[in-house]
Amino acid sequence: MAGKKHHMSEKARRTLSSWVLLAPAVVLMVMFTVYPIFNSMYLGFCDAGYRNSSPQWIGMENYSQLFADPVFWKVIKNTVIFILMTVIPSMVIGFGLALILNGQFRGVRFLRAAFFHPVVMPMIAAACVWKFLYMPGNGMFASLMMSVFHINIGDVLSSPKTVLPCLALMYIWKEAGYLMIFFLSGLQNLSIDYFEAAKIDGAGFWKSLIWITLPLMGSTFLFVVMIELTNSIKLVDHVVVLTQGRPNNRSNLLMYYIYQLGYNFFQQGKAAAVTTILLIFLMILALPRFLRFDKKVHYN
Amino acid sequence: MVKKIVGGMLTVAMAFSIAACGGGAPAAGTDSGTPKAEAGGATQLEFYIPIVAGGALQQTMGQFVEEFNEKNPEYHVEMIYTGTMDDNIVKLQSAAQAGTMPQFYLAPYNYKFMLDSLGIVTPMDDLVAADSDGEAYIDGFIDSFIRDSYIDGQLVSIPFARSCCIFYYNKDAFREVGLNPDEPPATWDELVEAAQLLMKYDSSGNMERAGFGICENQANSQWPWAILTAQKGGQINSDDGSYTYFDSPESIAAVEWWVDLHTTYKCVPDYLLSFVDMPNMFIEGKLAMMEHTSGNLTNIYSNADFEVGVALLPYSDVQTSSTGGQNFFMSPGLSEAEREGSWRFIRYCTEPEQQARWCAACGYIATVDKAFETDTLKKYMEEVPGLENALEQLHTGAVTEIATYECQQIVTLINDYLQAAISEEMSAEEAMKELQAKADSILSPYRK
Repeated sequence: MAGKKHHMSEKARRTLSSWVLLAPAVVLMVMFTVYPIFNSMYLGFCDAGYRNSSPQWIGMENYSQLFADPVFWKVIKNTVIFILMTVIPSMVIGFGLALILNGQFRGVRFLRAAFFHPVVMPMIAAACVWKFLYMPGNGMFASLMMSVFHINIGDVLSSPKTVLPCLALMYIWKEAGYLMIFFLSGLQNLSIDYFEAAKIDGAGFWKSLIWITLPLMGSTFLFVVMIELTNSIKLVDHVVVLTQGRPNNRSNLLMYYIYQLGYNFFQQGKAAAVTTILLIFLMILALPRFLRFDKKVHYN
Repeated sequence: MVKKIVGGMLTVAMAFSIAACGGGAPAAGTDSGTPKAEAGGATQLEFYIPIVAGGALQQTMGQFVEEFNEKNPEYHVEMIYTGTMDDNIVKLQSAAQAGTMPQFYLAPYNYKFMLDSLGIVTPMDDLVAADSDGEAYIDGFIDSFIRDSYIDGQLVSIPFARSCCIFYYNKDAFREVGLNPDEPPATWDELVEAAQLLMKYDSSGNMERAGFGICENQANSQWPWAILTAQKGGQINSDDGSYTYFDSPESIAAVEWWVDLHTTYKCVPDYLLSFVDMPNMFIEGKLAMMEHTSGNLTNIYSNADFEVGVALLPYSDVQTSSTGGQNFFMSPGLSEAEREGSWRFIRYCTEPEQQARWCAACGYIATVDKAFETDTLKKYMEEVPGLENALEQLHTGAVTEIATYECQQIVTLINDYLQAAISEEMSAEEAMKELQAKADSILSPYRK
């Protein structure tokens, strides 16, 4: 009995010391993450902007205004299209690169570094470079199209048809190398035994890719999908530098829309409402990682 | 397993950090205009200044501050750079919310209603009245500039860094196609005729030089649109800033003509032309004529290797242009000494000699008539003769840029709908009707 009591207090002491050690982090998290989240949620139900010195409770008004605003739906549509245009291609390219660069040959290290370098470039800098590439007339794409196909593509960033694909292309270039690293480390964790056994049984490259590599990489894929989905939503720099939502909101994405509402139009209530929608959306995306999905794709 | 948990946490942390950076501004009351502490005897005066013209602006303003502080030891002025014009507005908004306003600041003159609704504007009529030569000082400003400084008849801003939209043309290109370089187009019809002549294509049919250019991108197209509408005899907003007339026959006609430049006359670049690209395109000979800010006079005269022509804007029914630029505004709630000091500094910066220096160094148009009689500007006008045309444009006619409540939002909407019309997503009339409906819903709470 006495022994058990001693054990309990030991446990209590450990709990206490853990909390004490974590306290600074917890305080920071509450101040800069938890409080702003709840404050955003609250502001989403308020009219906060030019006409009020303090937020006025207006219930669902912000949400009903947003849902009635075609621009909001345009932004949602753009964001979904942007995700579809970026997530799968950058994963396919990243995985392809990883497969190639997983081999051992002369220059492989250089190639890995070369494909990884866009990742370490700040998005702002990369977007500035791409702005030059997309420039009408003298830009790389315009002069290439001109000299090879004799087509004047004009300003691809101000045309409603081409602006989103242009943003997506730059994003894929930037992101594929990043995903390559995850796939590469996933590939290198796979035991060579499976592949040797498959080889002996007469499986070719595609067979072992589809029946061995892909199933074993399940958890890596899930992880990468999550990273990529959140990344493609949270990014705003490329929109700021390249288009600022032009033309006519054809390239306006969710994060930029929040900035525009909050800091250009000073409608902080509405901006908070969109933030809340975004938060719920991201929570739903993050959910599978905590639920059964994880176990289903896990083989080892 | 641990790796996966960390991964999951990472994802959620990302979600949270995104949420945290949107719209989560503090809900503090806007006790704007909190006076700064007065330290060391001298009254401390802070002012916000956006860097728009880079080096020269910073240097010249720095000199004004230094000279003023030296001559007036009872005050100490400190400038605070706030970045671009847009950054400046964002900083002013947050300062207003947090109650940390500077004593005075520079802001676009046409944002006066928006600034007023933030509660960071105060009338200066008492200061004018207190000055022995106050009336004469106000009368000394160019009418097209000072006219926009009032709300409900009260003086709320002082014109400082101002500009005007003017017509630039390439005289060498005129000669090349057989046009008289001393007779720039005076009307829209003449403009289109000349622009079509000036179009130049290479052997494979690609545009080498566009006849004419007008800015259509980067939140600036409301400027030419206000001008085109005024040239048709219309007006885009009411003087009290709470009504807009975007679907008036004049406004729609202006947009239709603009769209026609692309679709019917084909005398402009076949994409949305950006405001910042235009001066370089003109200098490189890729635009034969353009409507742009007088702020580029020095740049264009010193960098173009052809003969530059500057003239009044071609018009349809009314000969007019529009002004642009920034005015000094004063924060409310200042102490007596702070108000006096701010006023003295603003007056110092708008004396003829300072305005002449400012104009010559930064390319803005001096806001007081007397500045043009100074030696500084006489010398400058020999180098940049186009300034005289800009002055002539101001005296002939120049309307106010869009000036409404919620101005930034209205400006963004105008640009969206103009782009929709120009890229033929909507007809001019559809676009303007929808734009007007949106503007109405934004402005209705401000109507008396």
